[in-house]
Amino acid sequence: MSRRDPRGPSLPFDHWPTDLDWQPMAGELRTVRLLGMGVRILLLAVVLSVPLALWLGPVGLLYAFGAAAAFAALRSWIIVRAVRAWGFAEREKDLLVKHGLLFRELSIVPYGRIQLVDLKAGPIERVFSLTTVQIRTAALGAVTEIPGLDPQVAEGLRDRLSARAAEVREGL
Amino acid sequence: MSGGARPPGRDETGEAPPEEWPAPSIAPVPIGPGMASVAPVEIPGRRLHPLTPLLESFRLLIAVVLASSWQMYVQENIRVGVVIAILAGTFGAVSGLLSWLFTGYRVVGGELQISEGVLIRKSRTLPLERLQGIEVAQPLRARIFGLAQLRIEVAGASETEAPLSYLKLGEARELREQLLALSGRGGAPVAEAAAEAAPETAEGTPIARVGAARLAAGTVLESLPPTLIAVALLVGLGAVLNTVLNAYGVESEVWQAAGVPFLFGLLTAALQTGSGILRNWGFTLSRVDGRLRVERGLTEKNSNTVPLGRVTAVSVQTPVMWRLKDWRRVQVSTASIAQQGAEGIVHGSALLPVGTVAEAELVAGTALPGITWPAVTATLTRPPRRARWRTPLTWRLRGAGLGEDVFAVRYGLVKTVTVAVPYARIQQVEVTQGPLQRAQRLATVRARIAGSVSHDPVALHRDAAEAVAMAAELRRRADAAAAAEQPRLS
Repeated sequence: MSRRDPRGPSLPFDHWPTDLDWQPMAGELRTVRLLGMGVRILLLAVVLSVPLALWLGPVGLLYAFGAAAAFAALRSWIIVRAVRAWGFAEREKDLLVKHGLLFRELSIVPYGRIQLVDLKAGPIERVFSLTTVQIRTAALGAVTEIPGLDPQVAEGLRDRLSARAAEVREGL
Repeated sequence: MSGGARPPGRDETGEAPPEEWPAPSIAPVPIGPGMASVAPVEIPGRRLHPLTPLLESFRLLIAVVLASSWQMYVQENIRVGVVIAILAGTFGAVSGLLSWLFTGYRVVGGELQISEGVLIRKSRTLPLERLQGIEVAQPLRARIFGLAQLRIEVAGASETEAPLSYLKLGEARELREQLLALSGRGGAPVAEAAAEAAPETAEGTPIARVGAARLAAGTVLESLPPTLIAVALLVGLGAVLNTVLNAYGVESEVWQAAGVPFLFGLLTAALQTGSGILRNWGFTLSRVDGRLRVERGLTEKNSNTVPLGRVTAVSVQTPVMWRLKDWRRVQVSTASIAQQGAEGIVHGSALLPVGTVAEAELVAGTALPGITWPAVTATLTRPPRRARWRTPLTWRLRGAGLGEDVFAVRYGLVKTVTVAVPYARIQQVEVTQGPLQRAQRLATVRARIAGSVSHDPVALHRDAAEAVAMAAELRRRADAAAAAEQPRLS
């Protein structure tokens, strides 16, 4: 609790008191996120290009798609890093989930408090065989999410979580 | 539906046909903790009190009477008024009677089942092992007939929205005792619970009372700052507008235009303060075998019971004006999402609306057995000085600390709140860090508890290393506390 920490950790979650075995998300998560972003930016570019083309002629199209491409490049860089920032670690009694690039967040969910474990996969996620694990406790509005796991990994995690949750029921 | 033994002759859907319901009065049942699991105590299907339709349509009735008499007065046409009254009366009577006929409750296999609805049958099942608290409320209109409502709070459901109303007062109290006993909580010895078969003889040990003078002074003092600020804003705005308009040579009457909402606002504030005083009139907190019981109210009498083991957080609050008198309020929260008060949904119920520091410490210590409040506040430490500019006004009073049995956090300027959560009640822990915080090596720790979001203790802007250590320590202590807990609460 020393206030005068000469060079305190700037990435606190990597400085957990004990060593953690952080598990990354599946590589396809990056693809899914990039694809979704690409589609959205393409739509934006199309919408943007109509007034610009009417106003400036063909040069407007160039501007619109140029801006969109620049924006997409920036977003890709962020997405790649954001996906890398996701991670989960199973400890003896709890599950740690970290995520976020700008706003970092670390959730610690004890197995004994887990009320519900959901697996879900959207259509695009299914194409790339990805599954999202959602974990709920009795705390309101706190859904802990692990997006983008291989289905086998997700199911294994779900089974382990439910088994541990049944073992150590801690209640409200 | 738990697999409790069902008595023969009941259908398997769990919904008894209404004609089966006018059952004989309740047989003497064994009451006691743990009995629910041994031999399911059952209360056969019963109806609400026959006066229920009258009371439920009380407001409608008054409106109809007013409307028809107004009609008579204006048109001097008695016939129309009488026809309206008769039509509305018959409609109300028939629908009320029907809904009364189709509403009933029973206790089967540790669950309270309430069924209602004429056209669309609805059956609600409240698992009693998740009981968070019971309130016996007597609105004025019900008091006239000696009737009461039973508001039942269950974890994870805002069931208070549909209370059991109305029952005879004695019946309501008896049912409360039975449900509490069935919930298997409170640690009442069987003999004691049996002695309570005649309720109201059990008075319990009184812990705190609030006198009328202090209640009035406290309520007025609390509502003073917002009222004064609103008045000052309105007056200032009116004055500015007036000057501007006059400067442009307009004969302005903005003053008067602003006057109406101004008066209206004042009136509402006064009414709210008044109803706050009425609500907490004669406030008495007592401890009845392992439960906290609050009795309060002048017009609407309330008697709220919270099992001690259900308390998820205790907060001691000081509205800014109360610092003059050094008064405190004590609130507890349970895992039920919302608790319904006379003024709507409130988070947490007050165990002490206004009290001295000593009283507040006593009440807080009672709500969380084994803690002493001064020791809890002594553990609070401020965020690092470099976080001061982020919350300049509250930095001085902010604090967070790991006590012996509780995690405590203090915050708030207009209302300073110290909230303490027993480690065993912490559901999950979060550490967050925004970009500015990262630049300053700060982080925020949040412990989440079941039910309401507003009582989560949040330690804002701690040193990053300290925050992570705090989260790890919270988790460790939560596990230790939960493991030591007997019996496990669900």
